[in-house]
This record gives sequence, C-alpha cells and structure tokens, in this order.
Amino acid sequence: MQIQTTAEDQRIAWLAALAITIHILESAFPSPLPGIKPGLANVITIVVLIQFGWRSAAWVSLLRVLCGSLLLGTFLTPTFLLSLSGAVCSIGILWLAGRLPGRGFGPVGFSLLAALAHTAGQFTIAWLLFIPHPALWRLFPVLLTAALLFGTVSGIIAGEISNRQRQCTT
Amino acid sequence: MMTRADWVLMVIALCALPLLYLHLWTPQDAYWDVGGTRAGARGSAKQEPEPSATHGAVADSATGLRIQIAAAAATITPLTPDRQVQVTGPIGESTIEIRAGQARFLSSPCPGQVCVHSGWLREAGQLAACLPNRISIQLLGSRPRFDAINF
Repeated sequence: MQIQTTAEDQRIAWLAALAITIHILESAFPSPLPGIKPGLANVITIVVLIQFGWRSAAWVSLLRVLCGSLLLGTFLTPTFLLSLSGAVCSIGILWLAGRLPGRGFGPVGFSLLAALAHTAGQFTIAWLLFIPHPALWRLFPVLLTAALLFGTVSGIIAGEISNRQRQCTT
Repeated sequence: MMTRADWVLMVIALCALPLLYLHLWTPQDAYWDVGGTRAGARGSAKQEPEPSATHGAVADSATGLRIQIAAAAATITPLTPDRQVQVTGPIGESTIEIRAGQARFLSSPCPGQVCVHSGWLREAGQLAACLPNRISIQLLGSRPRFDAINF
C-alpha cells in the first residue's frame, strides 16, 4: 500500500523536520530559569504562517510537538501536555489574528501573540492540572515578560527569514 | 517590517505587563502575606493574617487534622472548634492553630521557621512539617486535591 502525498504534504514534512531539529537542539541547552525557554522553533511556525498560511503552520506546530516529544522521550508526560497546550493556544490565537481585516499583523505581531498565548495556555494548564497553588500566579508576569521578549526576537528573526526568501525567489 | 497592528499590540502588551505585576505581586492575599509579618511577630497572634473564610469549597473538603510527632503514632483531631493545640517535640513546644477548617503552625522553637512560613493549610492533603522538632501536620479528607507532585 502506498500513501499518496501531495507537494504540500512534503513541504509540511520538511518544515516540520526543521522545526523538530531546532526544538531538540534547544532542549539540549540548559535554561537559565526553569519554565523559560527561547522557543526558537516557533520561528519556523511564523515563517510558514506568513508564506503558506495557517493550515500548514498548524500542521508544522503540532507535528513538532508530537515528534519532538517522541524523540526526547517526553511523550504523554506532563512536559508533553504543557507543550501541547501551549502549541494549541498559540495556533488558536494565530488563526484569530489572521482574520484581522486590513494589513493585519506582521511577523513580529504574530510571533508576539503566539508567544503570549503559548505561555498563558501552558501556565493555565500547569496551574489546573499540576500545581494548583495560589502562589504559582506570582510567576505568571515573569513568564509573560520572557514571552514578550523572546516572542519579539523570534518575530524579528522570522521576518528577516521571510524577507530574504522573498529576495531569493524574485 | 512592523505593521501598525504590530505596534499597537506591542504597546498594549508593554502597558499590560506592569499592571499584571502590580496586580499579582501586591500582597493582598492574606495567605501569602507571611514574609514580613510572621517572622517579626512570633507568638503574638493578633498581627497574624486571618484565614480566608471565602475559601468555602476548599474548607469543607478537609475533615480532620493528622498530627505526627517523631516516630509516635499519629493523632487525628477534628477541625472544630477553633483552637490552639500545643505539641511537644524533641526540641520544644510547637503551637498548631486550627481555625475555620484550616490549620497552621503558629509558633515553633525551630531555627528555620519553615513550618510557620508554610502558612495555612486549606485543602485536604496539604501538609506542613517541622523537621527540627520532628512534627508534621496534614489535613485529611476523602478527596484530597493534592498528591505527591504537590510541592
């Protein structure tokens, strides 16, 4: 039996592979603060979103979480659940952001929204399922600050990549 | 590279963050206002924060308090009436306060005061321990909200 794949499927697979690679490389570096991570793999999500649309971006993002967790050995662990909830929230907000009329958001806006949604969603799940302790909320603004910072940086990188690609193809 | 929506979003986020810090880091919750008041006022119960009565759903889940001293058999006491219980461990006498279905270490002879700083135990399954004095207290209940991954 052979599964028919379209060019789009293959493109998604390539891009997801790239995102997974970045995801795993990043997990090899120790984080200065627990819970804070640059999330550079999301650069790929944003580039894909801008060039190929939301559907491809959602695929790439979810495939990254799934395969990344299988490769890192965190599949179905709390880490995986947190990662998944963050990814689901961020692609959800990206879908909403894409509906904005007019010129809408650029890469930085998308990345920032995705990062904030990722952190907020993940945090809520962590609080509801794992650490239902009121003091946890003290950490929330700190994590959001990191999300703001890294989201902006990722967005700038994603914008730069998109620009250069456009220059290459034209 | 930045569209107008990007800038608007950035400004909103930058304005909202300090507000969030202000909101979440202001010690309005009596439960967490322990650092300053409690360390200075050991033993004087008047300045202590009140247990919150609004925590209704939580307060009914706990049905008793288990007090364990060193290797002796644990004693289980009911959460009513409100009172203070004196227990004697290896290094001295600790006071446990029970109020509104919640419990805490009110005072302890230990140097670190970790048990006192644990604050009010509100939910079934929550535990506070004093290692130097070898005393631990835990709220009991049929449906504990916390388990091993708690702390």
